[in-house]
Amino acid sequence: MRTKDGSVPPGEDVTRLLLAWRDGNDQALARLMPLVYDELRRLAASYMRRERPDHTLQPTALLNEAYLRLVDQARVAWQGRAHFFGIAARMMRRILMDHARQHRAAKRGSGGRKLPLDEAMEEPLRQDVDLLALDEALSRLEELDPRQSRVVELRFFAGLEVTEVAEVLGISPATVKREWAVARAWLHREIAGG
Amino acid sequence: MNREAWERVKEIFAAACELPGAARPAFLTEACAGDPALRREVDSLLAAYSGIGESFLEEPAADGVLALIGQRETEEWIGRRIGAYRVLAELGSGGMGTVFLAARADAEFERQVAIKVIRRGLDRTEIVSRFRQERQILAGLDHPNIARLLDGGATEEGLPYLVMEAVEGVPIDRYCAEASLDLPGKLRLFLKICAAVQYAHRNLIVHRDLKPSNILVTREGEPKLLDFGIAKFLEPGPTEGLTISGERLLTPDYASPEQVLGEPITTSSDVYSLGVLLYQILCGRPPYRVAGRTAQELERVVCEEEPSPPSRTLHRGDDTEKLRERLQGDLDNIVLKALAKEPARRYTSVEHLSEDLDRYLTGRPVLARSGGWWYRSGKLLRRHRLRAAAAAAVLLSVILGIAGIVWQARAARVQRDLAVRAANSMIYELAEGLSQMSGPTESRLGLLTRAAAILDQAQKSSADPSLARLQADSNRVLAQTYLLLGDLPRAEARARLAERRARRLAGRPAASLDDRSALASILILAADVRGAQGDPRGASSRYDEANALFEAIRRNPAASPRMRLATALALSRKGDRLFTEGDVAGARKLYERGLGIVQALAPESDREPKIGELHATTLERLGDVLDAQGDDPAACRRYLESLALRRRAARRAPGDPSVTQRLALTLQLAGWCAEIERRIDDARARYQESIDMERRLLAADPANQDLATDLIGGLGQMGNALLSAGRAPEAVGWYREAVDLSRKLLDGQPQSVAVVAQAAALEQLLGSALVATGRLDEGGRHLDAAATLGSRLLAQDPASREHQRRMVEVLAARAELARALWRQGDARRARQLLEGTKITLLRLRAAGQLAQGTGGAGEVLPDVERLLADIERNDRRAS
Repeated sequence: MRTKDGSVPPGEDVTRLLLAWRDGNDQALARLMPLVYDELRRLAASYMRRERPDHTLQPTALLNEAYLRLVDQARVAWQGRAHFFGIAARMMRRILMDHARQHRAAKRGSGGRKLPLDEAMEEPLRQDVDLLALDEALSRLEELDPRQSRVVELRFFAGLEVTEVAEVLGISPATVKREWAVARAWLHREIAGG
Repeated sequence: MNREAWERVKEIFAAACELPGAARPAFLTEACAGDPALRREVDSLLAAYSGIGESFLEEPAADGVLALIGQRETEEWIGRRIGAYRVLAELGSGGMGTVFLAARADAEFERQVAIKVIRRGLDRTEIVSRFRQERQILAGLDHPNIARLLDGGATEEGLPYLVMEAVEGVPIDRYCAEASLDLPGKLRLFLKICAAVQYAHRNLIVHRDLKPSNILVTREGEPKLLDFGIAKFLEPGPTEGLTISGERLLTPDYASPEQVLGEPITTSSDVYSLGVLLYQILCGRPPYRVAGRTAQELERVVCEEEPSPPSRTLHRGDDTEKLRERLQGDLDNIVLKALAKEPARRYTSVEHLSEDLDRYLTGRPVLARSGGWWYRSGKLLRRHRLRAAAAAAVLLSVILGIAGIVWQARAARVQRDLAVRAANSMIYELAEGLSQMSGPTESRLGLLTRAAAILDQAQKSSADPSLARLQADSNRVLAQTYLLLGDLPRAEARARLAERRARRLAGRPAASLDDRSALASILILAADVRGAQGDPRGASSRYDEANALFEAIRRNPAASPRMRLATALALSRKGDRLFTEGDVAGARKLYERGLGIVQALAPESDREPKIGELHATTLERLGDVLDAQGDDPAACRRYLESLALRRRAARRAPGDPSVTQRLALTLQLAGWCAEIERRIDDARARYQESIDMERRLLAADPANQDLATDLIGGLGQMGNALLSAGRAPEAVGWYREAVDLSRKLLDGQPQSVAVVAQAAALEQLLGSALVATGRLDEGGRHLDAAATLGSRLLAQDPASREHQRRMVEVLAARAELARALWRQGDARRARQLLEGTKITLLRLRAAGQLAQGTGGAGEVLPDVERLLADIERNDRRAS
């Protein structure tokens, strides 16, 4: 579906890129990321402005909406959704890590590798885990067990529930729970062990 | 560590976790026997696991990340200057751009405005032109309830922006909830919104995105419409066909069926959205729960699920009961009419909606009437064309039965005279009305209500069980007829009366089999009414109760033929229901049981013609089921058996139009049987006989649309026979006549599913025949017409297998056209057509609308793709 000036609208782009990536074109991923990011950014900004401040962001709903808006489901089978969510989770991980790195650089003198619990608005992240160590460990886990690391990404970075992860990855919830348990143990060991 | 080893570790770890601590060491020793490395690994993991705090990774970072990226977006704009204004805060984000709150940078007093800037990354030429178009749109709109446009321009980076009146207010749903408006207050507020939308429509603008967040109510209580952002001119022009970035712009809760399906949006879509809005205002929540659903579920819910009437949706509250009462009936109907799935069934304009609401507010009768049963009636009519005729037959027989009772009553006293007279006049009037089944609804309803009034007068003076029976039956007849005519509230009222009386009669110790049989029949009717009102549970429970009663009656040797007949009828009706729901096997069982009963009654059939009629009908139903199960020869055996019965009935009652009509239809079935056995001449003879009969009947009763439909069907069948014999040019002639008649019918009855479906089928057949004879352009036009009608059908009932099958056949016919075009050398058009067809097929498949058994759907898509590939290969070779 081409428009008058010959360019292809982003909605088309995302679908096409997603399919291309699924079919093995790795470059498609690089082009896909900024488009998805743009959409997530826009949606996140709009979600944040919901009237009630205690209203949580409901990441799954947001990701679902991003998916609905960006991808032409007529052409993408259900696995496409899995890929999309995987990408979104991956992206969110990257964003988080970038942010963590920036903050670490800024708080040079704070000593210790943990990010302090911070109620200030500029630090919307409350984590008592060393994010950068987690990132590194996760990359190692990916080499050992790619599916397990995807479970972690989907659960922790994209905020999906066990059943949702199961649906996205096409495995049973019991399997998801098992992988999650093992992953937590492994990651904890790797991070703590330093 | 290699993969295998790791998998083992995981397995053992998981198993160990499930065991109580004490049992673990033993298990581990056994499981890891001979592999100390494995044991070490599992041990260390277990140790790590037990050392984890509750919260390690359990709280997803997702929220925080999203908040983070959300913040960044806003930060970029705040404080900047746009034109003569300074951005203060972000107000919202839409499909095309973001809206900011701003104020004049150089003025003493701050006049706040809303500035809408097109999104970064979207600034492509056609989007920009669309944005400018919105400026044009808004500039042209001048209405107190529509946010005014003040200015426009482009930012430093060249991003276009619009400056609009900043509306300070609260979204309308919140306003209604918090301002404690009473019902008339809410409606009057809503009417103001309708006026604004009407105004936009008059300027040929469809809003397309009406929802609470787009309608703010100011402190003074004035609603303001915002964000005509995805509005579109109705006039076709250079803007036709553009969407925003290929996105599907939906607010799921408020999307109309045609929006969800990606079909053309019209003013009717705004009517729908207003319906949703009204529902929300009245009930506090939207008609469908859509949050978090997948696209497919969304389509199913919006396009298929019937909303619960507003009166039923209300939560329990203090004055809820009173409110519920006020909502019930007319206001329910108004909302539901606006929410109809098919655009043609909604209010034709916002003005009509406003008018009806106005009528409601001023206590005048409204025009909206519950139409649910009409729709279902139409559907059944298609599948079982004899249904309406059968209903009439049943009513007639009941009336005759009542007449019998009345004759007996005549012998009794004067006090009964009133009741007798009432029953009598009712019988005659009803019978007269029924014999004009295709007359205008209003007069039939008028007839009925008059009879009902007389009956009510008579009701007061009855204690006699035989009269009570009469009344229960009369009410049942009334309910049935109201149902037939589509007046649900009255149907329910009558059904309730009938049920109450019948239960009382059947519950007495002296209750006879007759009483129980009567109760069973009434329960069936009550179930039908509930079904039509969208209360499946109420319907099911009554069907079940009725069936239990019928079962008992059936087994009772004392049951009269009439009771058995009623049982057979009930089974057949339930079978119909199952069939339309897709439970073919279940339907078959019921039909077979019904058939068994009727066959056992065969010796009585000379005295009781209804038996023969039900026998033939049940045979045909069974034939339909067998056809659906793919057993054509068995189906045909039933059809032919039925034909013999019908011919016998016609011999016995030669001038009777309904008998002749039924025979004519059965001849069509028999003709089809001959066709599949390739006996084309026999087929044509039967079709011709059928057509001749139908022409005669139609000449005597020109307004009878059932007859017209039957005739059209017959002409179409004839065309089919010729087409399958390879005589396409002759087939064209027959099809053309059929299409002409069908179009006339469609003009008069655009809402009837049966008529639309038939029209779709015929346009497709005519198109295919024309293509087969080389008249490609003409054929293409008819196929286009077929596709449009087919989409309409699917939009109305996406789960219907028939409609899906129809659509697939149309698409297959288009593929054939493409092939013919290609052969003629027009590869470009062929390819265009095929691409479009392919996309439609994919879309249908994704929407789950290519169900199994929809006539080779599985083959059509690969065929299309193969043909496309062939064309492209040929093209490349040529160039």
